[in-house]
Amino acid sequence: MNFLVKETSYKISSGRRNCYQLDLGYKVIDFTFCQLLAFRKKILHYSSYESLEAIIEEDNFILLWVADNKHLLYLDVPQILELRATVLPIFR
Amino acid sequence: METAIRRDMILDVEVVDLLNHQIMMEQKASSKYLAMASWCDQRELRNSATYFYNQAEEERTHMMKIFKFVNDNGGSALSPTVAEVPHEYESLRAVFEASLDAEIEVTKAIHNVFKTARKTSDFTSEIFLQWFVTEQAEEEEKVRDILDMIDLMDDMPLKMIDERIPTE
Repeated sequence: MNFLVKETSYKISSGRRNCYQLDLGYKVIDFTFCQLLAFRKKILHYSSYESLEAIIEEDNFILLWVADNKHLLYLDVPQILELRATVLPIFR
Repeated sequence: METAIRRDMILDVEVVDLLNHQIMMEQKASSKYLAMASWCDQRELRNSATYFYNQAEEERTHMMKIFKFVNDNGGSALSPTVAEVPHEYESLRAVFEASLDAEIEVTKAIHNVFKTARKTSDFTSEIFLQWFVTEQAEEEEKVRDILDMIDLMDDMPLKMIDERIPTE
């Protein structure tokens, strides 16, 4: 059996205190720490089983304002899950 | 990255999530007590109404204490939304029974945050929560005392029972 293991293409980095960058590949979003906490909360919410089920049954995508409404993200389910896998580990 | 996060916040993020849940629990308890105060006030049970108005204030104070703690320590406190709370009760005894259930619910939630703070070595939160653990034990005991008094005075007129409800 063959497996294809794909690591997340999104990256989060931090150069200095209270300054984080989320690299989505097509753009980089700057976050302060509190904006990052708020983003984590949204991703946690939308990646819950109930939310994913609701997304799939409705439009199959969400529009998400991030970083104090500076950026609007169009996210489908795989992208939401990938963001979850990117964002959550940095707090551990 | 762990160091970067640590430089921005002393608290464990999992504990922050639970503290935000606790903020909602305290606000919910405050709303429940306000509904109980209204029920008593409408039936001219003055002491009981005062007791529940005070309890509603106290739960809000608890909520604000946690809210400030989260924000003061680098976390992000979320303003709570509360679902519908009950406004109808069968008797004064039923109101105090519901009050005890509300306190037990809050106690369980506090214990859960405390356990998580200990598990994640978030000592700042653990020490902060110690006051709430003691406070909840006192709150539960206060309601049990009132329920015992209601049991003892079961045959007495409701107004006389109300006169013995503590208002401070």
